[in-house]
Amino acid sequence: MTPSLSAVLGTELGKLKRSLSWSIVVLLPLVMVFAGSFMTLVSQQQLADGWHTLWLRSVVFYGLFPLTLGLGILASLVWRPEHRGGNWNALMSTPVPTLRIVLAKTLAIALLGAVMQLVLLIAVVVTGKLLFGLPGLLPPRYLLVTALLVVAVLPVAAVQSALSMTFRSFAAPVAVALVGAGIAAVALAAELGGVIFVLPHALTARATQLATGTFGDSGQLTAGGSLAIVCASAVLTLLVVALATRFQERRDVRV
Amino acid sequence: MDTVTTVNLTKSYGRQAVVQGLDLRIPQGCVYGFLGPNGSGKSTTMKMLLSLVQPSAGEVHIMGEPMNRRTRRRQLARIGSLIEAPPGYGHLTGGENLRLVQRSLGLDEAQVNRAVQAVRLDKQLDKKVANYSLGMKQRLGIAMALAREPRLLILDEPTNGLDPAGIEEIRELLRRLASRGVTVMVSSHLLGEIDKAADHFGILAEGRLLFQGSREQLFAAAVPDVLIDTPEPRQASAVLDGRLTTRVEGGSLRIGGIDNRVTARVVADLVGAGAPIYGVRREEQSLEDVFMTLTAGGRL
Amino acid sequence: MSAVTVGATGPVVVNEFAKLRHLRVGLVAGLMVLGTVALTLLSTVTSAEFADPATRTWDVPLAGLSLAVPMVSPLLLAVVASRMVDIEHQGNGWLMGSTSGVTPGALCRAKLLTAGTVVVAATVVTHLAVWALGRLAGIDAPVPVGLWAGFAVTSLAVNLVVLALHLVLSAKVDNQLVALGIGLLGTVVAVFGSGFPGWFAHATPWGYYSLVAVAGYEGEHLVTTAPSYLSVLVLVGLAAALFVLVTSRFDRQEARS
Repeated sequence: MTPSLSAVLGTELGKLKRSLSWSIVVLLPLVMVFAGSFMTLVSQQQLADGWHTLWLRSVVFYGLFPLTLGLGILASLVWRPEHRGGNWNALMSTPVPTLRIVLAKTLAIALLGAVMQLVLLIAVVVTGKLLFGLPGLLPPRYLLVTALLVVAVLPVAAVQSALSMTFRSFAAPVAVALVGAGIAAVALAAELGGVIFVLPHALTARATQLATGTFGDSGQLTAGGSLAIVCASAVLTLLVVALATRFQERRDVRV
Repeated sequence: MDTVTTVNLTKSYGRQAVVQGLDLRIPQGCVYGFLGPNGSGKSTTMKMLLSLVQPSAGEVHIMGEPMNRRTRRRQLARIGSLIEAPPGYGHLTGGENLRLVQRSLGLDEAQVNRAVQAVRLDKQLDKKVANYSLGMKQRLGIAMALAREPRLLILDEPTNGLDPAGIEEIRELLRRLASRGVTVMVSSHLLGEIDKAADHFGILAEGRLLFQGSREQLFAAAVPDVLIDTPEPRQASAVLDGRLTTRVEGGSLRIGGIDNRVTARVVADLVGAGAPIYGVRREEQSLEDVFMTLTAGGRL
Repeated sequence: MSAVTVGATGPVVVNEFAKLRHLRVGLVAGLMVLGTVALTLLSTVTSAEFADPATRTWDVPLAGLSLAVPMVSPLLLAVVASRMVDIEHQGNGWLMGSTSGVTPGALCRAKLLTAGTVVVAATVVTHLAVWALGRLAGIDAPVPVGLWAGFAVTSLAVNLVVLALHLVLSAKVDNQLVALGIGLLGTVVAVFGSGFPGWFAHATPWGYYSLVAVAGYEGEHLVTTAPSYLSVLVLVGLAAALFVLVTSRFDRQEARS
């Protein structure tokens, strides 16, 4: 009776009930879009380049810090109950293989991250139409960027999940996320493109800057650039999940 | 067949050995009382049986197969356990916690219901676990362990936080499980809490096994004192002086650690020396006394 | 109040310092210093105003600091507070404290004193480091002592207010997502604060980071302004009163498990 991954993932999502996870998932992107629009309204400027400017104001800063930190907080949230009472012993005493536990936790975090991107997308469209009365709809390339982002949150989800699995502290992994995001921002600003293959935080941040022309981005959404994001996401996620599983499999519970 | 066997099971941290050279044998379908003072290594041993902690040396076999990091997830499907603090997510209700277990282990409704009824938690399932009493958390933890219908149940101090009625319920539950062929290993630092339920015992002190065997063997291991009733205990004591250690207690003479053969010779000597004797008996001995003799009084 | 209770404050604070061991609060404080200094340095060396060695002024690193402090501080302060308070949630420390005569409120106040000391030290090191690096980078202009000191003191005050808020928040709400989530939103408010109207900056503690900024770019031009002392003074007074009120309410609450 080896349980399926979807059953374990379902269990993980069940644990999030009453955990306030929605507040990060919904509020964070809303606040970011709101902050960008609010500043534009207050300064009584127009959106110089319509939808593109609105997207820039909503996503550039969001992608550099808040998104990564939000994922870090969600990762700590997903692991927090396991570190309490006898839950860790219980978790390691079930027939569910360690790999499946690590994978399910990562996917649960990434799923919340994916919903965040959808909320962001919807918020941008709604403010663009209702607040600024922009013509037409958001250009389709931003839908593509959103789709890429759904994939690109995986590496950060994996690495933050591994950190929150290892450390009991809720806050410490979030501090690590801040450091990762900081290094990523500097590296991207310095146009060190290769960093996305090494640092998960840089990969996620890089994906948010696609088609914006900021932080080392050309401003164009290219097939090559998109492919690099997808491949790097897959490789980094698998690597981190494998390492975390191996570490957890060898580690003893606290005595 | 033995459900659990270990060979030279040892765990040390640095130079300090927490558990040393344990050869456990837990027969199938018994309730195995695992006794010892706090800090004697009971939890560590149980964690090694579950491969939560890797032994420094030695091996664990469960149901004839090795238990280690490579085999553990397969083995754990037939082992239910409750180690140290009871599990349960505080922000969820008891029922929601059980549904998580049900989903992740692919159990059916009936299995969960049976587990809930076994620990009598049916009426508390809609309450958040954060608001449970310790006793209710223990029951929930046991229900979680039982839901997978294990063939081996490992419970670490399951009666912690339970009131006397609750303790009796757990004892009854353990006996019922054992009668259905489930092997139960249950630890406690209080003999009184499990002595009526257990039929096999392992007694641990400072990481070493002091005793292991059936209830009868346990009684045999510690010979009770002989009491000789006489109106002249001092005179009788003088007769045996130099050969045996004796103590005068009111109208009787207490002699410890002598078997039946020696007892017979002592009585013959006393009668030969003209001491008046009207009764010879062995002291009534409770399991508690035996336990105390083995752990604190005797070889510790 | 008996002499015992008054005298007990000392040991409680000493205990708080003892608990800092293994919590890596020093490491987080170090990160705060490092992050702030690095960001300041980065924004300084990339500034156009800094290109000509002959006309380098302290205004450039001060503008960098005015940006770096709100960027780095809010979240790491939330981390420090959460680390220090979460151990009480995890280890049942509230109950243990209560049974040994240390009320939850007193515990929070001791934690503010302890963490506050760490934050003060981090602030001093940060500003000294920026000054030293500025000298190394060849800024020969005289140091604008008044302006700089004003910024150091007011930004420290805002940091302490945010820290106090987070200590209360982490203590009050067991789920640390709330505290860190608010820290994250606070960062957004702090960073975007300067773009918002004045009333908005006054509305939340994080908005005050924009009120204490002493240098910044208006278009291409670097301008300096005095920090809003009065606003910060009112904030500190209000926050102190609220902190005392809230923590003394903790004391009257039933012990939590």
